[in-house]
Amino acid sequence: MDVLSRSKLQSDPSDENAVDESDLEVSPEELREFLAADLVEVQASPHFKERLRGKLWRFVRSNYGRDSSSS
Amino acid sequence: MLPRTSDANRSVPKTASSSLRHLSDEELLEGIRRSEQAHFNELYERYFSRIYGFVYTRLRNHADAEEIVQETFTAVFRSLGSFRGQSSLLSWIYGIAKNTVNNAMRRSRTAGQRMDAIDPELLSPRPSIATIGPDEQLNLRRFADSINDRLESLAEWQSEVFLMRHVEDLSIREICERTSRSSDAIRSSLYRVKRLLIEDSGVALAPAGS
Repeated sequence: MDVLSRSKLQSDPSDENAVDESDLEVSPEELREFLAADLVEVQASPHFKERLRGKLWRFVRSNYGRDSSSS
Repeated sequence: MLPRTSDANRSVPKTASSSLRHLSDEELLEGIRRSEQAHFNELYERYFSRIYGFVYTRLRNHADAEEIVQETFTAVFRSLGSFRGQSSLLSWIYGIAKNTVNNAMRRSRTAGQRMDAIDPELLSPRPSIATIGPDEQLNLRRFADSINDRLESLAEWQSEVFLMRHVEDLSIREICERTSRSSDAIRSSLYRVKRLLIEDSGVALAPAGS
């Protein structure tokens, strides 16, 4: 196989980040730390936040909602 | 860069509905599955700062944090259909955020190790393409093709940003002005492309015929 034409990165990295609920082990300490992130003194770029919101909403609408096929 | 304090993130966005604040995550999820935008906005507001803060605390870099927050939310919404409620949504989203950060840090370490492992000989001045042999010309052409394939797999604006930076040699500020995008978005995009190319270089630099 031509190593230069191999396409090993075509898969979406978000797939590898999904978690199986049945394998999920989260300690109360971890959840507390996650919730404490609400208080982190850091602000994301509002532009980034709104752009991501739009992108996700378009995804939701086309995959879960009225725009998706009625299969 | 913008001064970054926590105040603006705490304000109520015009797209969120305060009447939904009493709803549980799971109730919001049901609404999202019916494509209710208000439910989507409420869940997004509930988790955006939390995920951003969690990721930023680990990476300490806004460009990287944007990249990982986007990956996290994408994984969450891609997988919502398969969420069965065996755990709380909070635990499940935390699990995805943690996985995403850990995977990104692992990728970053691996890319760094690859950079360290590059033979210095490869970085020394190379002969002109006109003077190299046909085998090397073929390898170079294949390498260029693989880079082109990578660029084509990106959004059009991302490949344009990469070319502006590395072919036209524009500064980040100039690219921001030309594309009307934030410097964080530009840096994040360049980081993403660079990562793809670095990961690909491990393949492209392999000896011919291996």
